Amino acid sequence: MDNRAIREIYEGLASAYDWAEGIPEALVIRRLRRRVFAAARGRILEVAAGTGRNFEILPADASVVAVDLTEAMLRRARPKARRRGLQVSFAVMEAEALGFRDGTFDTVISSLSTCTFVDPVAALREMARVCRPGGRILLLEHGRSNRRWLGRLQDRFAETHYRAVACRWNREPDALVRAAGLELVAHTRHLLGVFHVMEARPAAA
Amino acid sequence: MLDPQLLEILVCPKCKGELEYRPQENELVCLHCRLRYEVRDDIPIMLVDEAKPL
Repeated sequence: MDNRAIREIYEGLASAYDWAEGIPEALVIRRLRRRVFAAARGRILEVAAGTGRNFEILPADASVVAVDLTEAMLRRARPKARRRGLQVSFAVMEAEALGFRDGTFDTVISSLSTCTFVDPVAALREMARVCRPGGRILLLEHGRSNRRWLGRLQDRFAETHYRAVACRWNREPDALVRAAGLELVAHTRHLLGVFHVMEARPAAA
Repeated sequence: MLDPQLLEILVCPKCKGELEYRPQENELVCLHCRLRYEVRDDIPIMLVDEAKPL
């Protein structure tokens, strides 16, 4: 799938996304979001912001730019920012080709996104490029479980799942972060080793 | 109207070069790539494959 195909899928998913994600969100993901994104500071970029599920966690005095591949998802996010009183600017972009100057942001965040990027290493390199030296890249990702039985199950249904929601659930997010040349400074795994909470820094030039 | 703070940090996603904002046409122009990026409802659409030729 290319970015155009992914955009078409998410245009279809936008209206039901918050409802469909409600149960996993309530059970585990919200807790992990708080754990990783509470540390976001200053000028913040959220990549693949989707319907704005992280807005409720970001500090109210932050200045946020939210980008996503799909305009319909951002249109769902806008009222959430307003309700929270959060200053957010929106733009439609491919994560692999961000339209920001080098070193613009203090913190770059992204959640549950490396599974869907067409080229996740290129996307992570772009996050590092637009993050200032010494800034932080905070990620909440999911991937292939390190429990043998679950990893195999994910492999078996990987293509079916990918065709439905453009999500490759058997990728290895921490390996992608390293392959992109980012410095992984903190990393923990959660919920049968499926979820990754990661703090990275753009590698020193 | 495009947020001036956003305008200040935006560059062309393709060449990472400067953009020119044309409020009357409501678009951002990259003279180098000769592309026009539309701004819809205050949201700039910074996709190379959606951009129009200059």
